[in-house]
Amino acid sequence: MFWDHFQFWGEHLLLVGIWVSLALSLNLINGSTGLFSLGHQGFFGVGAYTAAMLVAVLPEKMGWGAPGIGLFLLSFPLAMLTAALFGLLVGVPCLRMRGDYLAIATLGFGEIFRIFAINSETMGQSRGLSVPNVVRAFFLDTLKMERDDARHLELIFYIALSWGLSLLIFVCMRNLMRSAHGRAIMAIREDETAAELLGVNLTRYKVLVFVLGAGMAGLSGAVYAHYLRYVVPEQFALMQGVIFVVIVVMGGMGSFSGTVIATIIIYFIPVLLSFSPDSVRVPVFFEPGRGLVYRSPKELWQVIFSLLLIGMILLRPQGIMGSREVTFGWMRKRAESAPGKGGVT
Amino acid sequence: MTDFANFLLNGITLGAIYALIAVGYTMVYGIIKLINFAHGEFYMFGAFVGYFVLTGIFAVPPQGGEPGYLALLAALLAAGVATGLLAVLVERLCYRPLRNAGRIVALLSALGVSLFFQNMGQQAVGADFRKFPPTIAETRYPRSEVPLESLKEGQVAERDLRLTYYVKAEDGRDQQRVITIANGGEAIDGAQLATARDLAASSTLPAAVHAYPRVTVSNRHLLIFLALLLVSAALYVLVMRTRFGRAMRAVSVDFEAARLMGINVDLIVSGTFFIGAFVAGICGVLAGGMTFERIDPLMGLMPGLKAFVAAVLGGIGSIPGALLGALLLGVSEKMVEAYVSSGLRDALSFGILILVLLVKPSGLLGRFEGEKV
Amino acid sequence: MSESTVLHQPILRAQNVTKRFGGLTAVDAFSVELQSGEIVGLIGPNGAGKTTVFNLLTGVYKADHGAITLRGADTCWLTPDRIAGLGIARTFQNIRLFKEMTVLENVKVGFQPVKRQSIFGAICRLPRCCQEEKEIEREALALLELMGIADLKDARSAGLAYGQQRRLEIARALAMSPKVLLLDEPAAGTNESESADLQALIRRIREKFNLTILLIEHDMPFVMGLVSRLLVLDHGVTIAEGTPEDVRRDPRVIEAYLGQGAEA
Repeated sequence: MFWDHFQFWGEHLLLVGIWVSLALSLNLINGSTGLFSLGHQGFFGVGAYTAAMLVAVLPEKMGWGAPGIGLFLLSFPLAMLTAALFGLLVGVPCLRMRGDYLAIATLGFGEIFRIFAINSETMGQSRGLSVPNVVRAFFLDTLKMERDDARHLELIFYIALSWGLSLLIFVCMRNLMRSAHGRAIMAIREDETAAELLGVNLTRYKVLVFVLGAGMAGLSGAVYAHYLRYVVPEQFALMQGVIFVVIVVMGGMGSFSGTVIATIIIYFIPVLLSFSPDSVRVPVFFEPGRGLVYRSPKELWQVIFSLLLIGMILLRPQGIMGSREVTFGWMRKRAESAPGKGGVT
Repeated sequence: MTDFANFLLNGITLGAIYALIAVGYTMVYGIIKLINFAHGEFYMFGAFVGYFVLTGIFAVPPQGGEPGYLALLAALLAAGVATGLLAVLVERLCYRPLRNAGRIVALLSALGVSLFFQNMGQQAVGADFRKFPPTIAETRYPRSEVPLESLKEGQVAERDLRLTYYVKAEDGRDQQRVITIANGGEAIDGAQLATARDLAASSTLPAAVHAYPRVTVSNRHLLIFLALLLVSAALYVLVMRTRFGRAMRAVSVDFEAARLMGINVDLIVSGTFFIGAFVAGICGVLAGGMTFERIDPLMGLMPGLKAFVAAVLGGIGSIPGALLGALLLGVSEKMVEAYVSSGLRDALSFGILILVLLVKPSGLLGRFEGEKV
Repeated sequence: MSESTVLHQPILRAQNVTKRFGGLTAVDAFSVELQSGEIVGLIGPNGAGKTTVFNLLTGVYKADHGAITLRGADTCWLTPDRIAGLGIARTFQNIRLFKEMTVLENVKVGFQPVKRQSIFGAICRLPRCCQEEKEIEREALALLELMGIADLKDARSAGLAYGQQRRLEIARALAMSPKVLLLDEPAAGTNESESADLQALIRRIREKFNLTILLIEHDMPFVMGLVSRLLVLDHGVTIAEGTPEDVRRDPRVIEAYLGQGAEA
């Protein structure tokens, strides 16, 4: 009974962990630096495909038999490096562009990656690749575990992995942003020209941020591919990227804690909607000749999502947190100044 | 050589479709510097309005007969006007409040609007393809009539010979069908000729055999060219010769100055959205409906992105640039599809996009905007 | 470099610098030599090309002709951040603070050219990096103290009064440890007593940081009381150069600048 619930909620917990890590790396690019990338799903995909190909395609091609745990471990740094390399390749030329052009160019990159995957024989075309379950095999064959134990431990392992990764990224990003380098990055977001005249090397920092962000997205991608045990091009479509852009905007550009909160909200709304009883139906459209069309709330999630995006942009473009962070000091100050609004005018 | 001519012709047709969508993109960008992501969805919306007018008001089932040009005109007008009004509404609600909020914020709002129409469309009319009613009979030109009686078995056909005949469709209207009797350079097959004679005899309207050269163009494609020609001419007159056009140009040069000069900026922006979406809506019926014959809520995504690439290629903000960019893109896509790989066709457009943004962000015919310090 | 060469070689030299925008010549054959420790004024009517000169000296614009050398180095091919690293700092006519950041953070950004920490060190919070952060914090606070806005350190910079924002910009520029400071209308929007304070402040920072200052200003009494030399620009052309007394008597200046000023 417990394990059934654990399987259900554990999987959500794990996926939220991956989402958080991906949103955090995007926040570094879009939020902290103000480079508006719409191609983050591409870097995520590069990482996922690298990991998948390393354990699914390479051993088969080389005739090594089933992939071992060594290859599994190797796939993480390799996914990170490949994605970072792609970040460099996309970043160096694109970063000279102005804001909205950069958005479009990175979107172009993301789509090219997806189209390439659809057309590539090695990447499994639109069927994608299925990834062998290396962790389970390791638990069963090497550690001689019971079937159920292996299954549960596998889930626990992945939850720890995804949240460990998120925590690592969170701490690294927070440290970076609190340093002189982080201030240079924030200065670029606020006013590029002024930053440059204060000695900030724009190209260096933009490329750095792009490479770092892409590399971390690649890591998230590797975890994702290994856990789901398949990769298909559609997982890395534009819509997926947009979800994360929305999370970053919603959390507040540059606020890492805001990003975590927003990820959890955006992830769990459809999960909660899926609990709505089937008897609840909402009329959405009147079609001539067919009459009213009814849909259940869970089917309407993406509609709600797009309305949420528009509403948020119109009503609170600075996001939940602005560019602030949730810290104990901040919460105390907020509690103290709750009755009247503080601040210097 | 004939293959090349056919690819070229298809490319130009595709380019004309992109052009009809791209003018709206480029006009809106020219005026408020917004990349209106939702523009592809206006194209989709127009196609569905046309679909509901034809299936609802003219009661044509998707496999039914051909109500003709009058019904098409009604569908086009309805699609244009409805889409235009929708665009005005979208601008009023989702873009106008953000006019001073920066390009990225407005871009996000446009992204939201685009997603809304895609997702809402999927919930409202379903995610599956729908067949667009055959509104006018398809005819290919040039052609010359050949009497059926003159054809003999074993005779070598100089050109493609096809029989056009009619059957009663499920809605009682006559529907046109075409079969090939013989391809150019081949001998006429006796059985095929006999079948053709039978079909001609049972045809509900007078049947006819026509000889076609290797390179032909469909009347549906001609409609697209005609629409593009009319739109280009109308836009030229509008922008260069009218008060509204003068005001548009003023707003595109300097928004605030135009406002101070007493120009009703909001009206100009609404008008621009209306015109751009009107054209996109019409294109939805002509291209998505009449040419591709299948419509679905996501049909605007790719043509919208491609039209945007075309607008950037030509120089975003410039209407002649959008036309030029669209034709270039359409032709190069068809060439890649024909001679390289059909899968890489979409990658090509995005490659072009990145290349243009890198090498000449102002595009082929655009102006460069510097930044003020 | 020995003391004597520093004295004889100008710290900043522009020779025949010309900048055109389309058909308009914004700056025509501009030349200036700043000796170490000088305060020089750059005046002229609106649109004379003064801010363009600043943009050329700091590398925002590249000159069409002419050469600029900063502490002996040719800046022609350098990006603005490299030029800033050579020791030139500026403020802006239309204040360009980082609005979302606090006052203290704004000043801390100024330490870019002098920071030594590595990115890896910053991410891992190595002791050396933390040490440097503490130093930066201390020095930033000292600069705010000097500018008289230390009590506002945690306020958002956009919320500051106009004069305070100008002082914050100066503090941020000083954080870069510059040799040359370019001030673009520092006294704009200040009243008489404030501008007297500002005059004293500019003299004090010149002494304290051993600065060479070039400043654009419209407030005549303010400039005249501060500078040793003046350059007058009109339509991109330098029409007069000399001590405040000489310039005041120059008929071309009276015609081009003071005459127009009287009309307006």
